[in-house]
Amino acid sequence: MSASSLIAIVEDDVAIREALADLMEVFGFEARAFDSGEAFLSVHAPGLFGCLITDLNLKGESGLQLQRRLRAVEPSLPVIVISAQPDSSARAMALASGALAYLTKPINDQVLLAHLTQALGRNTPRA
Amino acid sequence: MPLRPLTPEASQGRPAAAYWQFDLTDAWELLDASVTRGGPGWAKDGLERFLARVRIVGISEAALLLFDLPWDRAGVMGRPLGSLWPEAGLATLSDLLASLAKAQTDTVLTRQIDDMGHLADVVLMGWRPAEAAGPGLAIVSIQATLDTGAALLAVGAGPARPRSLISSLPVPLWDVDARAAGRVFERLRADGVSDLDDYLSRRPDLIDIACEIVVVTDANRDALALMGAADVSELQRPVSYLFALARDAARRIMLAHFAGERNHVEQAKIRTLDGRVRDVLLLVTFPVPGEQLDTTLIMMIDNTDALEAEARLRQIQADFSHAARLSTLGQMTASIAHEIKQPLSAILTNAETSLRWLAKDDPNLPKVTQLAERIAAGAQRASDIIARIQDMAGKRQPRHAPLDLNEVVLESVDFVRHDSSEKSIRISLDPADERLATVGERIQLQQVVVNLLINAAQALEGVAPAAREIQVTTSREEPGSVAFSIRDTGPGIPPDDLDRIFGGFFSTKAGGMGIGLTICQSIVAAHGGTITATSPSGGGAQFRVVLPARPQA
Repeated sequence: MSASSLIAIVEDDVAIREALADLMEVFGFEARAFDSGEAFLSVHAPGLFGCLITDLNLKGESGLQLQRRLRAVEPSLPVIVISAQPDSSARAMALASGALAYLTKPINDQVLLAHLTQALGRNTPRA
Repeated sequence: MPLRPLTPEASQGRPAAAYWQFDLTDAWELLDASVTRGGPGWAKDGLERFLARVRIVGISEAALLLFDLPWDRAGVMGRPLGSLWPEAGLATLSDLLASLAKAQTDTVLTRQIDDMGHLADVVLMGWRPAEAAGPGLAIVSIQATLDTGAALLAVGAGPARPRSLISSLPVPLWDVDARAAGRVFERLRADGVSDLDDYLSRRPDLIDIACEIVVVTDANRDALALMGAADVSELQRPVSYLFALARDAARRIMLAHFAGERNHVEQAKIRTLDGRVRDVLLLVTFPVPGEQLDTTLIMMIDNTDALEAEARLRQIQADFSHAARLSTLGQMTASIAHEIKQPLSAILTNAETSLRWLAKDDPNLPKVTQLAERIAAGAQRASDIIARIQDMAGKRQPRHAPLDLNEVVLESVDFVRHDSSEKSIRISLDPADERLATVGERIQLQQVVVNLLINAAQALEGVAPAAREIQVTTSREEPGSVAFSIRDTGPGIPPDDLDRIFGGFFSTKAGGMGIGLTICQSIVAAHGGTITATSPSGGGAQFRVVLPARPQA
């Protein structure tokens, strides 16, 4: 459970990044989108975000590396990993690194909403 | 009338006599107006039809020598008369035979021929002996003068001719007596024929006749082995058996002989005595004046296996080229699946978001409009990717088209970018800041770039992740060339290998087929370009492809 309801989106594919940001908007969540883990970390401060949605296959540092670095600074931040790879080893590694969920693309909005709700500790989103 | 054949000894160099025996039984029925015009002269095709029905049933040794026939007496039986008699004498002989058929038995008829091949002052005397078994038997005796005494002597020396050195040579060799063909050529020249090619087009039967009158006199052990013969006598026959599958070769050999060439070489197929078909390199050496004129040499080099191997290799290369393309495709499948899921994912999310907006009491219609536009764009992107894969997988004819090498290289880098980033490989791009116009097959050139990038990535496997880098550069070259190079920070290529890596089946990888670079090279070569590999002083390996620039309009 997190005090903040601001959601961070890290995704290097611009179309998906915009789509996720729009989805957050219609969900009624505040969201900030980043095109890399580095960009996110440069803004990140403990408590600022209520949840991180990150792509696994980022051009620079991978989602997995981001997850590990984040664990050092804010281990309690819920992380939802999204990926185009359905393979179980990537899923296992993400979950072993503390991810709340591992969702494969294309993402089902209901499932994502359920995980976000769980991450933010709220039964329903605002609005 | 008693038959008194003369011996060759008695006729040597002097007016010679000889006789032939013919069976006219089958030709009898043709002796009417349909083949003759009632007097001298033959109706159209009449002569040929008549001759085809006349069978040779006997010949004297003297006639064999006089007519310079390479067979023994039994060997002549049953052969077409047209292949044995000089053409100049055929009409006269036929007239004689036709007249004999109509005349009483034992009536002697004579004909004269001034010039008949190498025989001059020819007198034919014919009769049908009353005491013969059937009325169809006709005997024709010949008296003639040889135009050169030497010709007869050479014939006489034939059987005793010492075996030449061909027997000791370790390649299949045939010793051939082609003088009969030479005489045919002389006669044709005398008749004003200068273009044998044209003549053979009108008289193709002359090729078959030549194959019957040119005769193998000797063959060596390797020739026996090649032909599957047990004894040389099996090969001492008219050369027709050598040209059963290569009539065109026989024709070209005749043209070369007629033109007075020394040698003729060509690739041909032969059928062996035991029915196998072999590919051979056929070499014919004709004698020139001063040499033994009866010695034309035919050599055959059996290169069936080499040709088969070459054909197999070509097939393998074609198969591999396709397999390698599919394998390249396989290696890219992860990238492609990833690439295609991205737009699909965005489309789905945008659609879901749109539906959520539309379900609200206060739908954000401008937002929904924007989302719909993004859905359309995403669908287009997915469709483009699929088209690109279809291009890549399709085994279609190359289509050369103007293209920008910059674009080709950058697109190809996109194919492997995902795979590379997973392997912590940084790809740095240094493209030329202008269009690099060239002409080529986009997919093939992409295959080259992708293959080289995959090679580079593989070279980086043993390198610390932080140091894994591939530098991709495109540039304009002077004069009139465009180029790209792909350099990795791997261990480089050992100097000894630099020359071999394009050679095919060269691989440093345990499971590698070693054909990637060969295919790259053949594609680049097909585009009129070059590909080189170097180990630059800074380390790593560099592959550089230079292609002709497309002239700017």
